[in-house]
Amino acid sequence: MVYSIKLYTQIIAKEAQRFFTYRVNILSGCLTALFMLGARYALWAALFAAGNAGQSSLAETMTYFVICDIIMIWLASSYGNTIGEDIRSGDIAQKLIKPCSYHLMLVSSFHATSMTSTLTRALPMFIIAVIFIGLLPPASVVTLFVFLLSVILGAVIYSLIDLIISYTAFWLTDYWCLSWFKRALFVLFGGLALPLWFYPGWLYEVCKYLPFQYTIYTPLAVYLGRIPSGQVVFSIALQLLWICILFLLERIIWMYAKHKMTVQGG
Amino acid sequence: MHTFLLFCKIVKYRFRSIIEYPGAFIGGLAAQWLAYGIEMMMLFLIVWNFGTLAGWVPEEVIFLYALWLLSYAIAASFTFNICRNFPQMAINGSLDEAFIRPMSPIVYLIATTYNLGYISHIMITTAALIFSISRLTVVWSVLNWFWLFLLIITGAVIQGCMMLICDMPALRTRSQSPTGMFFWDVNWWLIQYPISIYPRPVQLLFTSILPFGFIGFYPVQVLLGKQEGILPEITIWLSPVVAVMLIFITVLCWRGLTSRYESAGT
Repeated sequence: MVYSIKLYTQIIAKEAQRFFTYRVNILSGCLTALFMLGARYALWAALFAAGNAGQSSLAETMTYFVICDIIMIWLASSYGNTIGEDIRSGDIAQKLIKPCSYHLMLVSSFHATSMTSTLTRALPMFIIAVIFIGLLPPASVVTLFVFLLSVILGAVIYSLIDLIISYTAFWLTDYWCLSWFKRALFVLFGGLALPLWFYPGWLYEVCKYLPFQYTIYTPLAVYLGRIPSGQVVFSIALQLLWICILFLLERIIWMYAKHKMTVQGG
Repeated sequence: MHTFLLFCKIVKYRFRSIIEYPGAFIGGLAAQWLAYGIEMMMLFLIVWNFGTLAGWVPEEVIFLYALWLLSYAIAASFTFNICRNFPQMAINGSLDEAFIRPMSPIVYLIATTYNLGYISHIMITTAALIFSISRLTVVWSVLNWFWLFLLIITGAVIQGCMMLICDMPALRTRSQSPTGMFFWDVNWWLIQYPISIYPRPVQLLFTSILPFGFIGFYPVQVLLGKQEGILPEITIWLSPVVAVMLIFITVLCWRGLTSRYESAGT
């Protein structure tokens, strides 16, 4: 365990060092985040100006998107590209025989990128949003803690779904399309492009039976008080249930994927 | 004519090499259909919830988005790979081979890096155009059809030229150009919506130094019978002029940068 933690911190340090070498990319990432924020604000301000917002408000919607973007920057893993590239290049054969879990290496590497991206992209976005747009605070300290717990559970669900989709790379000769499929599913069912309370009833019903909304929408609905306090525990329980189901599914697919593996490079 | 035939022949061989992996090709197409289809569905849902976006109804917004994406796809099929490869070409000297071929170096580069993957964008945007055209209250006279055709071509020329102008400095800097990154951010985040949702200085910028407004926002108003924008109404007819000007600027930039090109390769 101690060895794993030491390895984890070393991988994070090295990845962070690599990330900060590309300063233009950091600047570009920061600019992208700010453009995204500006575009979102202009779009939603123009929409709310039409005056047909119903129960929602501009401040609530912008708070939803700013926190959503920050969580997505933190979660910006793309296991599909990494696993696919490892298979294509043959590196996966070397990585699987190392005295360290392949998954631990993947997670450590992405956490390093997540931490550095959060600092260089999410933080400037958050500061600008707080100063110029004004974000809604959580209803109470308890809500904040429940929100943080829900975000962590959502991150686990996101990573498990990402891994399950990424394992398709073992059966494909090309893998770049996996991230497109993943994004499409999260945009449609996860509330990435539009909070679920704006969805038509039938689509919202479909989303309820899928795991995608539990990654982003549920934590944000908790934060914004869209889930009544009596149902918050039920939502957290549903997140835990999805973690169990997805973890089981991930293990089964990984077992088959390892046997299917064909290393083309090397 | 000879150059055109040669161009078609090179593209034909590129197509053959891609079709060697039909699964990967079709998987990529399906992923992009899904991703962009959902993206457009979400945009429609957003505007549909509020009724209008700065006076534009959902069908008009989808029409504008589809035109932007179609012109982007046509332009990027010619220029995306070349723009992405500029730094590598300058580093490994692969640009040298373009100067020793019996055809124009830029035409040779565009042909050899032609990206057939954009066929998926063209298919999905054609579907979106048919959907929006069938629901718009526009009288489709011969002149209007001609203007639609012209605005797709001019939009593609404007986007292609701007991509090349912004990414070309990478030939000198030998790393991805910050102006190139800036172009992608602006084009990807800000241009899909009517630019009238932005503050006046941004609208002025998109009507002058960075003529993104002429890709879709201004010319599409001729068809929709609108007259929006911060400059006189003649602006909505100026896209072809802007496209021709950008071609000249692109040629000047290419000549300026390649006249002092020094190979770094082996």
